[in-house]
Amino acid sequence: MQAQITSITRRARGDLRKSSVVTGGYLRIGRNAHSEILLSDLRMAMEEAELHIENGELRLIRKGTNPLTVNGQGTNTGLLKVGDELRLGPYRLVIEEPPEGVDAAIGVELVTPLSEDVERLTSTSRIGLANTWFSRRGFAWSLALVIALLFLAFPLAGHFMSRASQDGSGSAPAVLAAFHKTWSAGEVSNPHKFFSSNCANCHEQSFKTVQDEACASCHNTVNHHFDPATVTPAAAGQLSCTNCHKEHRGPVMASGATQGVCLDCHADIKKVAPNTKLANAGDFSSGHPPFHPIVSLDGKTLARVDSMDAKQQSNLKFPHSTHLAQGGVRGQTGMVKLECSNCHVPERDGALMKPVAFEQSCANCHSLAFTAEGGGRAVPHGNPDLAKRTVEEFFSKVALDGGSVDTTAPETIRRRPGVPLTDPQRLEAAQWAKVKAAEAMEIVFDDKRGCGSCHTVQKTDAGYGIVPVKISWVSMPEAHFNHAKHAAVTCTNCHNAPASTSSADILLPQIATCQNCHGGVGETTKVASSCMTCHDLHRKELGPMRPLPAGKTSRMPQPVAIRSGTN
Amino acid sequence: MRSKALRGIRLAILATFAVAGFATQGMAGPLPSQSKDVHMGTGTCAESMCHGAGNSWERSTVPQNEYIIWSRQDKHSKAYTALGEERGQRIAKNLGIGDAQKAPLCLSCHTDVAAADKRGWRYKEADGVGCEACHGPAEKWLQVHVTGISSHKENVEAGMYGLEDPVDRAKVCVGCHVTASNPLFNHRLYGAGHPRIVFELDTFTATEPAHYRITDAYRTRKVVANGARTWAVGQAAVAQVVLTQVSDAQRNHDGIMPALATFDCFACHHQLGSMSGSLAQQPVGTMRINLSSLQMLKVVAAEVDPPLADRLGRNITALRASVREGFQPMARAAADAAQTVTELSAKIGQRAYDQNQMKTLLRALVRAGVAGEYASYVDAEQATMGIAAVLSALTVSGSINEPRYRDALAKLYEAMAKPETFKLDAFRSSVETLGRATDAL
Repeated sequence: MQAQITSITRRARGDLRKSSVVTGGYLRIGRNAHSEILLSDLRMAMEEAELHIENGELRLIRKGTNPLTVNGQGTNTGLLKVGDELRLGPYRLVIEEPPEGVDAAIGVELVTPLSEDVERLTSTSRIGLANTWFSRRGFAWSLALVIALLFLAFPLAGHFMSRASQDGSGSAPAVLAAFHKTWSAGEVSNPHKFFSSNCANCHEQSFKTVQDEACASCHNTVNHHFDPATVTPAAAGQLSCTNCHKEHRGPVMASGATQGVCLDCHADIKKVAPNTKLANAGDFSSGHPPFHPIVSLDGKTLARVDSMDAKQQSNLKFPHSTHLAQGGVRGQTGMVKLECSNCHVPERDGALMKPVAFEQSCANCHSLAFTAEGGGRAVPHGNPDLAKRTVEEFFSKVALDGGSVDTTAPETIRRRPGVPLTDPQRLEAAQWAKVKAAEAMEIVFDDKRGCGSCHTVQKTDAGYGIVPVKISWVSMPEAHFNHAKHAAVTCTNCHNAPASTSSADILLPQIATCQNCHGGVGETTKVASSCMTCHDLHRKELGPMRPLPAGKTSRMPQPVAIRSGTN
Repeated sequence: MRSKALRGIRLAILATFAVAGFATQGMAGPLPSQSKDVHMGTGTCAESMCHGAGNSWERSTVPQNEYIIWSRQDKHSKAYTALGEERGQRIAKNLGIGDAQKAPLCLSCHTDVAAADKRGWRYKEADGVGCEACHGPAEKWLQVHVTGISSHKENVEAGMYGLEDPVDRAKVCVGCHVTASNPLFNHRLYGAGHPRIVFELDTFTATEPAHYRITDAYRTRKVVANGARTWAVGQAAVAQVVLTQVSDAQRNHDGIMPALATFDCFACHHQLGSMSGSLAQQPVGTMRINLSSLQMLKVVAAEVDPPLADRLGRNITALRASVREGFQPMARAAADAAQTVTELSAKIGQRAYDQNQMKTLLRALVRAGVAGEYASYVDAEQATMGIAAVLSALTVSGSINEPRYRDALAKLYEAMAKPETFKLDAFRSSVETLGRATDAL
């Protein structure tokens, strides 16, 4: 049913009527919030009565406890007609002529509001602070005093008392020190904890942010990010420690830089460093320049190349394809399937690879034997002079000892071991050893076997030499790639070594290879990577950012044994 | 009309050789010089754990010092550098062909020829006549070969050229060591100063020096041919090449001159007065084709098939006489001789030569020598190497001791020391001494 409910307020200047239409199967009357006819006076029950439509007429059903009258007659139920007046507690309800489209119209009026006396009683029954001896103002001041004492006076006292002591190791009472800590903005990072009891170690001036000098009093060897002479003066002064390093963030390392710090300058690097060769850099997913690794192009010096397609000259003959052949390589006992890790072993920190060592990686197949005499003998790797001495000493010993298995050797050399030599025989033996050593050296330093199979051999009047191998073991020093973190990826995903037939190939991956997995900082489907994922701010090839001023000593505590010079 | 007839003869000869070649062919595939595979370079083989070992592996089936022998003792390794030396440069200058180290004429034999796109990264022209010049370009067989578990047969099937059978070996050697393989190799090259080219398969195999040792492991993998067979097969191969050239009317003359490179140098180049004047079979002053290989084959044939030896003798006589008649009769006579050689080659076939057969060869060589049949230096030279080859094979077989003939053989070589000082009488008496020392007389 639909009914028009009209709230009526009697006023001197005329009644105020406010109507609304409600819809429901029937109408509930009461203080309950869901009642269609809401009677909010406190004296009303939650449910007082209901109005139903019955054959086009309104039927009243009493539900509550307040007395209900219709036209002055008490009732529990009955049919209503237009003009009937209901009294329910302090309310008067009048059945009015319903307008078009509405089943019923009811006027509601609160005729006997709660009296003034009731209001007054209610208010005097409350107990307020103002009624007690402890006033609100008094309490506020007391609390302010306690707070000031505990969190201002105590910390200040602790601060000044410990400052007064020479080494800052705190002569303040423990209780003062404890409240002193209440000023801390958070837990100090682990490396800084050992001196963090004295705030003044960093916070040198009260009410002033920590200055770079405070950091540099220990961190005087931290490298610069740029050569100050290469950037504009304004940019040179911009970088302060606290730009990136945020303290009191818990036991993590005190670095909290975001990519924005980098891009402030690197998005338009020419603006701050007009003569730089660096390209502008942006987000890794789209704004990073291609890789320009450092390799040797002339076999002597290292230089940056424009493209991975460049050919390097390492002075080493080494086809990866031969060594990684599917069928393996021939070893003494048969075919051996080589893996990358047979030669490339990571450093202990897992970041980079150790330089390949002949003795560990090559010697098993690439024999340096120069004779079968005496069960075979090899020259040591890596030192041509030592190789020469090894060969000469070996044949001298064979000549002096006798018993050589060389069927072409003279009788003196082949004699029964132990038979002493006469002086002329000694000369003969020495001469034989010299000739044999020279022959062996020729073979060892042949340009197609032994040294020459991997190296470029140089023969001069002074003897044999090897053109030094020139390999940049760190080709992209600006980035700190870590192999250990990529252990789940196979080597060949990034380094296409099995297809490389020449050591001239640069086997580093292109940036696109990295971008297969790494995206920029906002990336949601790839590893979100910021500048700091790969780059350090402090560049070790540059000098210290803030060196110790002359005459000052580092505040970094030294181990006692070293400081005292005793063991 | 005439040229057509000549072409017909030439084709007939080529056809018979092709058949003969097939009949006596070993297991080897195409000649290294005809292979289209990539030459990987000598450095590929020379590694210290492969064929350039300072100390061989414990269970190795080969000495592993093959590269060291080749690079230190074998002149094949100096073939290219020789072109850059005084004599090489002088020859090239005389021929007007520029730098010898760049001239295709010289490089065709002085290095392992490989087209620019058939060179591996270790290939170097400067390495001279390297491994792959004889064993075949390694592109396809290297992977099989390095496994160390492949048999020689598998290596050859993969493309390696097998050299253990002298028939196959001779085919490779004659490519450079007998003039006919290179049409440009003619008398002008000798005139420019190139040393005289001599070849005998067994002797040259030994003096290269050989970079293999016949061990038990070798025998299980390869067929071993003795020195006598190697010698006989080598002579047949040389004869075929020589006769091909002489029978080719396009190539057996140079303008109005004969193709002098196929002739016996010493027929003309002798000191006046020292000429013996008693060379058998032809009048003095006649140009003489170098038929030393046929002279040797006569001995081979006498042991295999005496009537064929008689026929070969008649062929030689006819060929020598044909020189006085003209290029066409000479080509015809060469074709007849080639037919005989082809038949003989087929008979030599896989003949292994036992001790008695070898002794027969030795006896025949010694007797012919004593009888003065090898009056020319080139014939005597081949007879000397033949005697040495057969003696060496007999020694290996255990039927004679080296000390028995050591001095006599040294004396024979002494008699052959220089063409200029060669005296037929001295040669005959040296052969006679050797014959007595070896019971061949």
